[in-house]
Amino acid sequence: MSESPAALLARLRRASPLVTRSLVAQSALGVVATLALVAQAVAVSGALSTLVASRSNGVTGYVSWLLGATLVRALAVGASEPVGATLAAPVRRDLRRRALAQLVRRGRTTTQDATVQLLTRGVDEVEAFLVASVPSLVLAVLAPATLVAYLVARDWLSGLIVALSALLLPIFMWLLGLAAKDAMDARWRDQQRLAAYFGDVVRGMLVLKSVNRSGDAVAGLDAAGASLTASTMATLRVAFLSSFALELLGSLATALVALVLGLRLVHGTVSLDIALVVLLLTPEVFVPLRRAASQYHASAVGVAAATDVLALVGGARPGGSYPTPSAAPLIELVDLVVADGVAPLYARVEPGSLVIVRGPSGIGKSSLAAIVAGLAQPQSGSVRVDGVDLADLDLDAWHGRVGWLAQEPVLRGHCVRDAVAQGRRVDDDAIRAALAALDLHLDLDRPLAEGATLSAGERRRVALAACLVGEPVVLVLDEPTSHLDAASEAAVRAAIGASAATRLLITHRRFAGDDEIVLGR
Amino acid sequence: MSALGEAMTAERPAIRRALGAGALVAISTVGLAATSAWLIVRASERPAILSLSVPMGLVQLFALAKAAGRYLERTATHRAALAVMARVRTTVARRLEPLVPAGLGPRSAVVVDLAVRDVDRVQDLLTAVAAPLVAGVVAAVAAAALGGAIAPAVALVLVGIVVASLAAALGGARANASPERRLDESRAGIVDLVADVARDTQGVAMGEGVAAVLGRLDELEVRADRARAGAGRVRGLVAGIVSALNGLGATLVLVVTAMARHGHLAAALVAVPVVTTLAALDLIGGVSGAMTGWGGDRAALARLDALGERAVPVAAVDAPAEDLRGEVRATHLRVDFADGRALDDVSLAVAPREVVLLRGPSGSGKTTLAWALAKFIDASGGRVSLAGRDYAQLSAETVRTGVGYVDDAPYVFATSLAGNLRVVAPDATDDELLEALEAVDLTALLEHDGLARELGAASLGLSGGERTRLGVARALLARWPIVVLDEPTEGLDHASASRVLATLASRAEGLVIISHRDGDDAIATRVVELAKGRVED
Repeated sequence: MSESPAALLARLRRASPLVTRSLVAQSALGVVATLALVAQAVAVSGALSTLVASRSNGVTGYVSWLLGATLVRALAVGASEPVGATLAAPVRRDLRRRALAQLVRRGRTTTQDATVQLLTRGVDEVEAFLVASVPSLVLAVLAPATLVAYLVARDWLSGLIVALSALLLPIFMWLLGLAAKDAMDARWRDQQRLAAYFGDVVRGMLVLKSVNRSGDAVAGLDAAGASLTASTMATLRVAFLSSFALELLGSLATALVALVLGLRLVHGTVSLDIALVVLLLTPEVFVPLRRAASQYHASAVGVAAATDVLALVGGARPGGSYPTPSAAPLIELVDLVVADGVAPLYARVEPGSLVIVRGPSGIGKSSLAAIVAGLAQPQSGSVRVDGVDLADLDLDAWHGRVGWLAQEPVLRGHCVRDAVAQGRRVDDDAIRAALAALDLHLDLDRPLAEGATLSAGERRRVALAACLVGEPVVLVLDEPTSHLDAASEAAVRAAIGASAATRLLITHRRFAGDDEIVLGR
Repeated sequence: MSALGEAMTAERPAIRRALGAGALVAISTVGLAATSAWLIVRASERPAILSLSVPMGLVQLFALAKAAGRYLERTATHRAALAVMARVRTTVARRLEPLVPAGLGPRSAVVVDLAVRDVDRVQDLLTAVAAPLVAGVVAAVAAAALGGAIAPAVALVLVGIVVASLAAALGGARANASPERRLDESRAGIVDLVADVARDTQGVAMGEGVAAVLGRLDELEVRADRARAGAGRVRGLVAGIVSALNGLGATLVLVVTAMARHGHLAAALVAVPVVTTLAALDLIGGVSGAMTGWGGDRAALARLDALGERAVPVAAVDAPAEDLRGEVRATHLRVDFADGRALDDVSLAVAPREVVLLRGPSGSGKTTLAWALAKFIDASGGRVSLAGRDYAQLSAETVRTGVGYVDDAPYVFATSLAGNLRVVAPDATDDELLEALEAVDLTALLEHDGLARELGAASLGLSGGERTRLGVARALLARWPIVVLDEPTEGLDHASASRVLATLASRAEGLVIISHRDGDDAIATRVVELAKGRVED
């Protein structure tokens, strides 16, 4: 399922040009910090060798040099996180915007929880991947390379020893990695399982209590904890071998460099000044490698999340760019198959006319409504709007011009006003008028909160009012008169009849229309 | 005593081993730095090579000890952390058990979720903060002792720098508390927005439209960015200060060494204080970044401990568990929560074979009544009885053999479909499971892997309607004589809602259904309307 961090990064960079900038800035700061570290080491070793040479030498020059290098390093280290965060923020915003837009445009989602997780935590994880994991991976190459280059320049033999052990490391890690990666993944899974088991028991406590099994489950946590700890430890012992290798190579390289330098100093083939610089910098070569290794899991989580987010964002945006009609259009159904096994439809809905859709229950009348509203794709065939295929229209704009009443409308927002205005700028008088036309006289501040503060009939009419206030050019209404008493049904019929839009109406009741579309097998 | 404190006391040997391994790493790190620094300077004085063989051996010994120590430290730290966490989890589960659901306030799922995340956070606290901190301090003490022996002021400098670094980290933690809280708030806002959109994407597309939704998202993101930038600045500042302190420490030790050298310090020892100081401060610097999250860690610990202080909604009854079935009757039932009265003078009887539909606006007390009937909360006044016996004399276990409860968001365990059903009926056969799935129209779930299909993982999540039906399937399998169902038709279309309810009515001996869907009253033998905690006539 997951690709390499490098391949993923390439895709992220294609998806957002800001990624490159963020990466370059953080890498540059990392290199500056490394160079300042070199300057610190040079100053310290210069001062120390001066002190060794004679009791009376002063070190003031080295001290100010050291302080200067310290300041530069502190600034570079301190700037790295804020700079990374600032540059990655637009990437996160951009990804979440596009993912949310896709979610709305693609329509109904089957796995609601998973989608919400992906758009919230998943996108945050991609950002963490960019701010923490990726720079640490890049610096794991850049910083040791900078240091080794400097060491080789100052003293090629020591540089060579460090370079060889640093180069040995990937080979070593690779050999170990074959075993350790599986073990590390297993460790990750084990720890997740341990946490998941606990999460399951406490989140599912109500279910367990209702069948008197909560006591057993809580008691079982102890046993499960013990057995999972044992199995986790078994994988951990292998997994930590890689960190052992890292540590061993690092400390052995330091020891080896110190021994070789010691012998060469005795023979007088290297100066103390250089020997001290090499000794101070050798362990620093391995620090960025260790940091990158510690990001292994954060990186794996980030890669998995980014893969999913990109899959969602990467899909084509449905619709085209043709402008939508500004007056009631002609709608034609051409060889349109709404669902498997439904006979193809040919129909012409004249501009401003009212057409009733009929057919047995479950045949796909609601699917037809969704297709005409631009919310779903037909099985085959097309819907033409003033002669243009619906698939070529700018669908965002089309959604804005179509009033669509769902079979089970969901009222959104906090109060009746919100539900009718739906984020559009509509003044209260217009809302009241639209409601009154449907024989509904509600306080606009009346809360919607779940529960039956509004009856089913009232909810349906509030939703219908929301369709009507937007001055739609097309109305697609699914059972607008269900749950209504006679008086309000008459008002609804009148309001629908009075509309100038091209109207498609699904209803089981008798309704006088200009024409009918009948769905059948 | 706090949950963590208790667990750590119990696991003292494992913790001691972990700290011992950490100390080994710290001491060998300082030792490697000291011996190699001494070796090199001494070598530059060109002594006989033989005289260097002991320090050369020591250098190799410390190098190996450091690597081995690191390995031991990591395994021992994780073993100790796992053992401590196993205990913390058990303690937290024990604390939550009597509280679920009525003792956790109106958003109990949120409280439980938070507890799960808090527990994870405690694990980080142990492995990423506590263990490295101890190693860093040990290294600093070793370096201070060694350096102090060479020039006493070195010890002072080291102590000062370590204290200043930790103070900077803790100051950062304090400064970060407010931006992190604001970040959490805006994150929660984004979760609400996305969940709201995902619930009804078509309605959003046709209603306010993509542009307006993105506008709302942008507003929240700007707020999140501001908080995040604030937190990032603080962390950057701490990292910068700690780095500067390390350099400053090296500089001061250098100056002290220079002064000692002007006195009587032998040339061979000149490099030792600076090199060991740098090695020790390196270890401390690594911890300070992790410590900026300390504020959040402490809040997590405090929340976990506060769970132990919540009032338990059901008093323990010392009575033997028995199988009891019969009529459930609430008489003048009153239920008070800490923040107000939820039910007032409610009387309701449910006889076997009766189907009672319970309706009312949200906040009217429907769920509280359901909880009282299944003994998830005690009556504050009046009484509830099963087969004529007062709940006050019956253990909760006994009541729940006679009265079942299925909540409005049935939990999906991270296990197979079969496991998710057998959790309420351990002895059910595969055929019985299939029959229950059939009865609630859930056979579509069998398409992949049948009953073995894994549920619960985020990517395989069930839709709201599927979860609802899973809950009803559980109610069928558990075979409670009387069962209370909270919103068993939520997320179902009309046809399946009616079918599911009819199946339920034909199986259970008595049913209480909470619903505000029109049409659900078709199967009801009685409809009870609740408003503001009272039964409406």
